[in-house]
Amino acid sequence: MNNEEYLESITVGAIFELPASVKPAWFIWNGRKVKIVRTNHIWSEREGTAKLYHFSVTDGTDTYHLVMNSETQSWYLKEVNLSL
Amino acid sequence: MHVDMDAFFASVEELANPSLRGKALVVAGPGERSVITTASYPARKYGIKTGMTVRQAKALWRNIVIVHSDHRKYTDASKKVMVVLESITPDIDITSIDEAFLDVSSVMRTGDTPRSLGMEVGRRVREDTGLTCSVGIAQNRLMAKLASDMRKPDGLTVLEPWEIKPLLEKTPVGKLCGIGPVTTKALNEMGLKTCGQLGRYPVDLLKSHFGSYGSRLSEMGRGEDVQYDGYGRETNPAVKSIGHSVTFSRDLVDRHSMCKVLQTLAEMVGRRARRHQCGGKNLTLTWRYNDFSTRTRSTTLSATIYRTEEIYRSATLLLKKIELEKPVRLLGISLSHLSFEPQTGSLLPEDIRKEEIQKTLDGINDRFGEFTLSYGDTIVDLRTQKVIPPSWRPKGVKNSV
Repeated sequence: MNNEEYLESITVGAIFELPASVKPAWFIWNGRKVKIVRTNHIWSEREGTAKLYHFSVTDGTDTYHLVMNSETQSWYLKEVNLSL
Repeated sequence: MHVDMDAFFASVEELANPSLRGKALVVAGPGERSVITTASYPARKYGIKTGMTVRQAKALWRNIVIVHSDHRKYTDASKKVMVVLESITPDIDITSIDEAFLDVSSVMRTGDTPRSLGMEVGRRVREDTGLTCSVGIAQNRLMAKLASDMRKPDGLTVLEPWEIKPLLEKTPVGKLCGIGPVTTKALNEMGLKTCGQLGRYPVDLLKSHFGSYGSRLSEMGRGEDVQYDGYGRETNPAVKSIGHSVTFSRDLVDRHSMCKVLQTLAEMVGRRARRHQCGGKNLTLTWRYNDFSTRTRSTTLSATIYRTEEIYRSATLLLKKIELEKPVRLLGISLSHLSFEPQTGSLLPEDIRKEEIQKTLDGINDRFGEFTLSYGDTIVDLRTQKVIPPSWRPKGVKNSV
């Protein structure tokens, strides 16, 4: 297992569902489209008035930690666990 | 009913990263001196326990996987678990981040048995959160807590009233919640090894040795629990203090560095006090030497304090009076004798100015996050070193992280 930490702004395709649910479906990383097959865990925290949503997701092989800032509607890749 | 989450922090980490499942995993702060807050069940097979340092754990099993604690992940997961438990019964007493007592007597339907309800709780927690818990059911909290420890992980134990006496006959006194290592040692020296022996021992003799706690010990030995009103909440759940402490990555000897830490701690304590609109009339400074001996010094103030600058000034005055004998590994500040009454502000222009500055600082930090704007001396970033105190609760003043 190889663990790398980042704080990289990324483009994410997400599904917003009513009443209040967001589900990342894919993201672009290193010029590659990573398709998310499962969300392992979701948690949130406050940073001032902004709410940060953390998503632990997997493409079936590796695990990625994505963060969404609800105030700026921006997404970050925070951590990657590569199953080598 | 007592619900205890299984290896909670480690299980949350496994949930977030399934590749960790089944591995000997510990959750700890950064650095070799950090203390392990949770060990997964595979790690426990190597003798690794909560409270050991990372260095000690590595000595037992060098391939141990160490995950740095992320308190937001755990408090968020705890809130989700407690929402599930609150949906089962509103009569719930959350005793820490990963355990709660539930009075289920009012929600039992026709056909329900304690066992079926316990299984329902385990299933709901697992389905809604992905985490497992162990459930203990008995006639009081003391026995329910003992029961939940008997079958772990993902266990369910129902103790019927007639099963308690024979069980206590062979249960070591140290297994009961509320009897710590020091009391266990003292009881063992008196020849009291099991709860049955403790329950039969003359109360007067226990009282002469342990004071008023002696009668409580006697009741505990018989499996009785009169500390709580019936099956429900603690009779006096009022919040008594607000405090924060930090263990340093290296021992401190110079007071200037300690004052910087106190400044940050004062801000953390003050922010919590102001957020909950309370203040304290008593300030306690706690310090721990590098040999783990812990000391405290308190001061009673002329007025209730809540501003960071007041807390910092009182703490540094206390520090000045102390003769430090050894390098210090931990510092803590707490406010007690809390008052939740509205504070009458001073009419002195200087105090009004300080109050305005404090409100402005709080407003900016509310908007942009803790420590966005703070005092220049606050260069020790404790945010990355936070641990969750046992007193943490999902709501109210004790929500400290």
